[in-house]
Amino acid sequence: MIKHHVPNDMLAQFAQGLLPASLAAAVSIHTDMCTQCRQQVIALQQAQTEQLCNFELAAPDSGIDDIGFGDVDFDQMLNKITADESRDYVQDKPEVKVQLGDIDFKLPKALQSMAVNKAVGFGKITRAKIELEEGAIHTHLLRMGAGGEVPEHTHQGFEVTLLLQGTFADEMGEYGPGDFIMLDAEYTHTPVSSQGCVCLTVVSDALTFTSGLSRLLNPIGKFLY
Amino acid sequence: MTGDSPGNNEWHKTVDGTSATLPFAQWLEAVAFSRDKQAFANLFKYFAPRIYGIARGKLNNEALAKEVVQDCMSNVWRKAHLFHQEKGSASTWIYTVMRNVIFDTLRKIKTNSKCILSEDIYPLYEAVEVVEDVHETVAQSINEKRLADMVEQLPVAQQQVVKGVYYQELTHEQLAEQLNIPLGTVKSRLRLALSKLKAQIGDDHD
Repeated sequence: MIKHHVPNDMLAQFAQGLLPASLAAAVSIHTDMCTQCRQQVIALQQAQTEQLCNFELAAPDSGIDDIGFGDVDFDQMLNKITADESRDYVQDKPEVKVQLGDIDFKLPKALQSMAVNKAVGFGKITRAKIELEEGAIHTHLLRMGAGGEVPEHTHQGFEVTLLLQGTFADEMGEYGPGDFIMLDAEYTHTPVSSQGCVCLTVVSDALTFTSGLSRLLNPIGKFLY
Repeated sequence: MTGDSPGNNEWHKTVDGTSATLPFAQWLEAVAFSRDKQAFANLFKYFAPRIYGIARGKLNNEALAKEVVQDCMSNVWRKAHLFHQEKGSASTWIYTVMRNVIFDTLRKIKTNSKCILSEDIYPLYEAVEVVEDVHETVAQSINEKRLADMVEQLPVAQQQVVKGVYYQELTHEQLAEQLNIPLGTVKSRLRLALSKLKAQIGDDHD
C-alpha cells in the first residue's frame, strides 16, 4: 500500500516533460506502481492535449504574425519526413542488473539506459551513483542491507527517496515499495531498514537551488537561463 | 503577410477544427497501416504549426521549437504503428510524442547528453496502455464497449469530464480542481456530453 505520493505540481511538470531526468525517472517508477498518480498524469496529459489543439493560430491579435513561423519551411519539412518510409520499432531492451552490496539488483525500465557507477559502501550501506550530469542534482541507488542504518543527516536542498524494494523506517514512520518521500531543507532523519531495501535517491545542493523547491519545479529557468 | 507565396502563411489558416470534427485517429491509422502520405499531410498541417507554437512558448527559442516540430512529426510518421485507438485518443498520443521530444531537448541543452531517455521514462506504447486499464474495467460488456467508443467521439473537453466522473469516479469538485476549470464548467460539459450520448443511443434504437 503506497502512502507517500508525488506532489501535484511535480506531477504536472512530469506530464509536460519539464523535470530533470533524475526526478522524471523517480516519478515514472512511482506512477507505474501507483494507480492514483498514474490516473492523475493521464488527466493532466489530456488537459495538455486540449491546450495543444486549442492553440490559437489564426487570431489576428494573438501575435502569431509577429511570431510568424520564422524561417520554418513546413512544406519542405513535410516532404523530407515522408521521403523516408522506414519505421521505428520498439525493441525490448535486455535486463540490466547492477551489483549493490549483497544483492544483484534489476534496474527498473526508467533507469535501464542510465550509466550506473560501481557501487561503493561502508558496512551495510552501499551507494551507486547514476551519472546524469545534472549539475547540483545527484542521483544514487542506495542499498541498505538488513539491519542497516543511515547516520542521521540533514538535507540542504531537497531529497527525494523512492523506495524500490523492501522497507525502511525513520522518525516519521514506515515506508514500503513505491513510496515517494520528498524531504525539504534541513530536515533531520535516521532511516533504518530491518529487512533491507533498495532506494533511488535524488538530492540537490542548497547552493544552486537558492529559492528551494520552487526553483526545482521550474526547471526551464534552470535549463535555459 | 507576404501574400504571394502559397507556402508558409497558409499554415495557420489551412486546418481548423478539433478532435471532434477531424478524424485524427483514422489518419494516424492510415499512416500506420499503409504509409498514407496524404493522411500524414493532414495531421502535419493541423499539428505542426500548433506544436511549433507550444514548443516556442515552452523553450523560448525559435530554432529549438523548429527542431521539436521536426523530431515530433518525424516520430509520428515513423512510430504511428505504436498508436492503438482503443487505448487512447490520437491527439493525446501525438501530445505525448511531443512531450517526449521536449523532454529530450531540454536534457540535451542542459547536459550535452545524446542519450535518449524519454523512451524509458515515458514509453509510448505503455503510456497509452495505461488508459486501457481504465477502459477495460468499464467496457466489460459489448454495450459498454460501444458506449466507450461513443465517449471517444466526444470533444476532448467533454471526454475529460465523462472519464473523470465515470471511469475515475472523481467528484465534480475534484475534477474541477484537477482540470483547473470552474465547477460550473464541469457540470455544463457533463450535461452536454450526456445529452449527446443519450441522443446517440436513442438514434441507434430507432
